[in-house]
Amino acid sequence: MSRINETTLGSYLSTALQSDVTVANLAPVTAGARRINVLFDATIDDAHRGLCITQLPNEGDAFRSIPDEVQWLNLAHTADMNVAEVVAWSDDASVLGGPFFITQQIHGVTIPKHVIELCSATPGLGSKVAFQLGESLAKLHVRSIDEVPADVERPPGTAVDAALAWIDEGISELLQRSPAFELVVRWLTNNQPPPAPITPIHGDTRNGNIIVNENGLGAILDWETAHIGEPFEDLAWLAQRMWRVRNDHLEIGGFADRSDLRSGYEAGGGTWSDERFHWWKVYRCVWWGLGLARQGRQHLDGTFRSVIMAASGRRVAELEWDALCLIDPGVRST
Amino acid sequence: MGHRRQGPGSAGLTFLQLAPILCRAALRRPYGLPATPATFQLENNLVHVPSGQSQPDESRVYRLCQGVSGFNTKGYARMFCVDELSTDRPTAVELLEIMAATLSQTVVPATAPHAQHQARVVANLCRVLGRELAADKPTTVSIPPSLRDVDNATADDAYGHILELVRAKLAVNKPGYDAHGAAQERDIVA
Repeated sequence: MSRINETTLGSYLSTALQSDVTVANLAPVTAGARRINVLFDATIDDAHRGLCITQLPNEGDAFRSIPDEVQWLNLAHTADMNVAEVVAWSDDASVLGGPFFITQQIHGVTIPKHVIELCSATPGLGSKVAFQLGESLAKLHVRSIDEVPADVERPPGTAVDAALAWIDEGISELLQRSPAFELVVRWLTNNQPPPAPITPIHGDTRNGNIIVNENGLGAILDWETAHIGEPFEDLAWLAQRMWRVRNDHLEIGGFADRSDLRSGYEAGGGTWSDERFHWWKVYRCVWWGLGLARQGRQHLDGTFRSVIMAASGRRVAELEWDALCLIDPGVRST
Repeated sequence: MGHRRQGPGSAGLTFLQLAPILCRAALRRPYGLPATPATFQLENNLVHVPSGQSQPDESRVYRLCQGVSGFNTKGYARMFCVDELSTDRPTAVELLEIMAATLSQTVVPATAPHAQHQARVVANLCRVLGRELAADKPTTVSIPPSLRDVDNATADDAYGHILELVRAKLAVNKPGYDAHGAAQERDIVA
C-alpha cells in the first residue's frame, strides 16, 4: 500500500537530496491502471519547486522496473528530448510503499480532448507540438541501442519480423475469427518494407501520453513500454484514429498534419519514409485491435476481470474498420 | 373468412402465401412498439393484420420461425402469441435505455472519481446492448476458411463483404464510426 504523504515524502527527499526539504499540496492526478501519479510542491533549501511522484504500488503489475524506466528517462533527457527530468528514485518498497521516481513537474494538459481543445484555441500550437514530437523522437531514434537497459530484448531479426510474429501469436489467441485482420495481415505480409536499422523507441507516444501547454510540447510521458524497434513504430502510433477523439481531419493526434511531424523529425536528424509510415500505421491498427481482443479475453478467462477489459472486446471492430480502410484496394492512403 | 388485411401485403391469401410478406413486414417494426397476441390472428388459414400493427419485430419473428417445425401455420400463431405474452413492458431495450441514462446522469456525478470511468463504461455497454437487441440480423456471407494466403481476386472479392460485416458490428458497438472511411483518411493524408 502506498504511503505517500507530506511527511514521508519530505523525509525521503531530505535524505536523498541531502537538503532541508518540506512538502505540501499533494494532488493526485489521473493515472494509468497500474500507477499512482501525485503532484506536489517542495521547498528545497528555501527554493520552491513543483515535483511529481510516480509510484508502482504493486510492482508485479509493472511492465518495467523503476530502475529501468529511470534509465530510459535519463537517456531521453541526455538526448535533449522533451521529457521530465528525474530528481530522485527508489526501488525500495519500504520507503513509500512501492518503488517510485520523482520528476520535475511540467505544467500543461494531458487528456487527449483537452490537448485538442487547447491546440484548437491556440493558432499554430498543434503544428508546433507535432513538430516538437517529431524532433524529439528523432533525437531518440538516432541513439544507439547499446544505451538502453541491458535486459531490454533485442529482436533477433528485423523489427518487421518481430512485428509479424507478434501478430501471428495474437491472431492465434483470438476467441473468434477476425476475417478483417486476416485480410490486413495478408496485406502486411505482402507489403513488407525493406529491412531497416533498429533503434531505441518510446513505444507509446500518442495524444494522451504527452503534456501540452501554451508554449508547445511540455513532455513525453510514460516510458514503461519503451523498447528496441523501428522508428516508424513510434511515428505511426501518433497517427492512429483513436487518439484524434473524433477530430479525424487532423491525422496526428487530432491536432496536426503529418507534414508537421515529418518536418520536426527531419529537423531532429531522422529520415522520413511515407511507405514505412504507412506500413507501420496499418500494423499498429492490427496490433492494438489484437491487444483489445486480448483484454476482452483476459476478462473472460478470469486473468483480469473488469468491466473496462470486457468493454475492450467490443472495441475491436473500430480497429478492424480503421485497418481495412488503410488497405482499401481502391483508395489506399500512403 | 375474416381476413381483413390492412397492413403491407395482400388480402385473401393463404397463410403460407402471406408468411413471407408477414416476415418482411416484421423486419421493419421498431423494437418496443406494442404488440398483442391479436396482432396476427389465424382464421381459416388466413391472417388478419390490424391496422397500425403491421411491423412486428424482426429478430423475434425469426426466432419463432426457426422454432417451428415445418413453419406450419398453427405453430407460428401459437408461438407468436406465447412470445408476446412472455415479457412485460418496459422491454429489454427500454430498460437498457433507462439504465444507461440513470448511470450517466445520476450515478456518475455522485461517484468517486476513480469509479466514474467504470460507471461511464457500464452506461455505454447498456447502450451497446440495447442497439444489439434492436439490430437487424446480419446478412450471411460466405468467406473462405482463411484469408491470409488467398489470391488477389479472392481477397478483393472478400474485402467488400468483410467491410460490411465490420460496419454491422460498428452499428452496434460505435454508431457513426464508419463515417470516416478510406476516402476520408486518404484525403487528410494527401
